[in-house]
Amino acid sequence: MQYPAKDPLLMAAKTLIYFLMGMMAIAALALLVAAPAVLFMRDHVLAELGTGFPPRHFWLLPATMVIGLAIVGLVLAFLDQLRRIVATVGQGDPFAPVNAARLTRMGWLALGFTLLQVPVAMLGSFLEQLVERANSADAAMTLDGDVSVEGIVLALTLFILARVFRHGAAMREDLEGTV
Amino acid sequence: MPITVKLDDLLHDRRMTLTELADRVGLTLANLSILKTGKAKAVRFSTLEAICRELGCQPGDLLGYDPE
Repeated sequence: MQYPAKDPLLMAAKTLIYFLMGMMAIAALALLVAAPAVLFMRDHVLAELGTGFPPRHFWLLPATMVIGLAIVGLVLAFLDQLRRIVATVGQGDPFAPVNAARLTRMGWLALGFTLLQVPVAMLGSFLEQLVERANSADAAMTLDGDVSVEGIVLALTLFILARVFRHGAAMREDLEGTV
Repeated sequence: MPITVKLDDLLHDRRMTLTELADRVGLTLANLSILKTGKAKAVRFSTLEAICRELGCQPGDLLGYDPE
């Protein structure tokens, strides 16, 4: 079954995926620049964080950025796999066996970036407390990082979908050559 | 493939081309070629019915079994 070349849903999906990949690429670039910059400008950053900020905890900032970069990388890989699946739908061949493998990979990637949010949440929360305690009315810091049940559910859904696709590919192969 | 398809003979006897038969039974020429060349893995009863209707034959006239 060939989907129309200009299926609005597929077009919308492709547009959104490319947009999100662009955003993630920008975020990755920003973190790639910021993490070493923060180390290079340690004294300046410490001054901004407040005189009461304990220097021995400075490593929390670049560490959070590095984990953030890992999360962004995983999300980018996730979106890339999704982009490839959408492409096969447009070609009229969504039950290609390779899509089952892609869905499994997406499941692991989703699990990865969901679990990485835990250390980000913990480090971020600790950093926020330190900055608040360091008397920084001007340097308030907010770092978002929650443990996401939705992420776990997403990963499980993708693993199950991968099995569905594997089964669909087997059924399709069975039908090949039936007239 | 032990199951043989005798479409060539039937078409020749009725002076019909594969393309004409494909149009009449509602199959693509590609699929009918797959059947004719013995590469089909399975045939739907609806396809068998349509071919027998258009060629005026029995399924046994169309299909054969050759264990060798």
